[in-house]
Amino acid sequence: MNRERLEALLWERIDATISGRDLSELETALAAGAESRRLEREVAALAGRLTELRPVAPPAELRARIDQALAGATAVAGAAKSLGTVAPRRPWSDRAPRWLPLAACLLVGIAVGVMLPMVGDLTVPESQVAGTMGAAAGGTPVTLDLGNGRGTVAISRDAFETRVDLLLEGDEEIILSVRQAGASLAVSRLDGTDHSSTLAVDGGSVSLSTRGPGLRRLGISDASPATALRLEVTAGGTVVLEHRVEALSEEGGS
Amino acid sequence: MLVAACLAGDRSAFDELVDRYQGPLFNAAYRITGSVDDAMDATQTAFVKAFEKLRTFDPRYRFFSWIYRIVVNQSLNIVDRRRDESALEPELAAHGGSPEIAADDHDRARMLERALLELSPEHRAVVVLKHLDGFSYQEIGDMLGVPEKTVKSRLFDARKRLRRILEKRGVTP
Repeated sequence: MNRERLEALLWERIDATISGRDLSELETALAAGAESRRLEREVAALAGRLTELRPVAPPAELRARIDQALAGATAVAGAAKSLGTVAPRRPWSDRAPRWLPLAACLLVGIAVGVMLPMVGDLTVPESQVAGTMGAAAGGTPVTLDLGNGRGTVAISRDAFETRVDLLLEGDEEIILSVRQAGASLAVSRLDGTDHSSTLAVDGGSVSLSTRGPGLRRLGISDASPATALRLEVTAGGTVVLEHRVEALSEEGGS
Repeated sequence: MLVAACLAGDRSAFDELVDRYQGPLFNAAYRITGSVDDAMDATQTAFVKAFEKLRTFDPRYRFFSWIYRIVVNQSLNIVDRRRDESALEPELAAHGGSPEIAADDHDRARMLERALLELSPEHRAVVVLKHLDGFSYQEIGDMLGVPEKTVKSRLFDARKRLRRILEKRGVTP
């Protein structure tokens, strides 16, 4: 018996998948030579050591990260009829205390007062947009010319996620669509929307309908990195932006 | 039961699945990617995918096997994408060294971890699935989408290579 065959049979014995016939052959070989028994000891030692690998405790932050990601997924599931896995929720207006709209207005007012000087011309700050719009936009967010106010849209893409940051100033309803032919897209996060926003996920298409000032962040996973995506923004029935998000290079960058 | 509760709209049921499985899933991802950050990414993505595609889960199978398959493939994807980069975490990569260091180290588990990282991702995955988690050839084949025969042959090559790496490092198995 050659060494290769001997080693294969030794592992089969350890895995308990060896046949009776092979076991007899193995035992004969082991009885016949010291070299075979030395290999037997080495294989057994490695098998023993492999069982000694200690489990690694997950970092404490992992749970928080999962919860955060699932919160985005929950929002998606709640908005997308096709998923239907989350119990329907009562309208926001039924659940909120009466004083909440007033408090919310006050908070928004304060936030706008604080943020406005930082926002400037409504361009999303570079620090908030990893990767940015890629080649087509020269690394800067694209300004949308809307009928009622302005907005910007910025896209970043890596091997795991395509992220769209949509910042709106006005009150007009915006429909943002991302498509990838033949894909099965999934939404990994959706931040900044309220009960009036709706999200639809259907195979290779994700569509977010939203209105009102503020920043929305949409994360899309499961897009094939090797294929381009198409982004379209519609306002008042008119397409105000069409953009091709290029496929990632082999290195995973955009 | 938990999956059914989750499908019925009970979000806390999924939280319990996360509690139960985040540890084993993270460990598998960590052993395959060799990086804490990558393992966290893979684990997080696996749970989100499982949550979003829960309706496609076939209840005749174990939920753990299903999500485990997701995390293993996610980990292999991450490793593939970063194959050309030096993605090893310092805590693992720094533990290589000469036979002298190995002899002084006495931390055989560390040496084995490092040797594992020198295997190709495909070889590493089968070793992890077989030896850390005790899956059968068939289960591993199902998870990786390869025939049982391929699993067996990969496992044989991986173990042989592992033994050689350890010998080269001065660690006699």
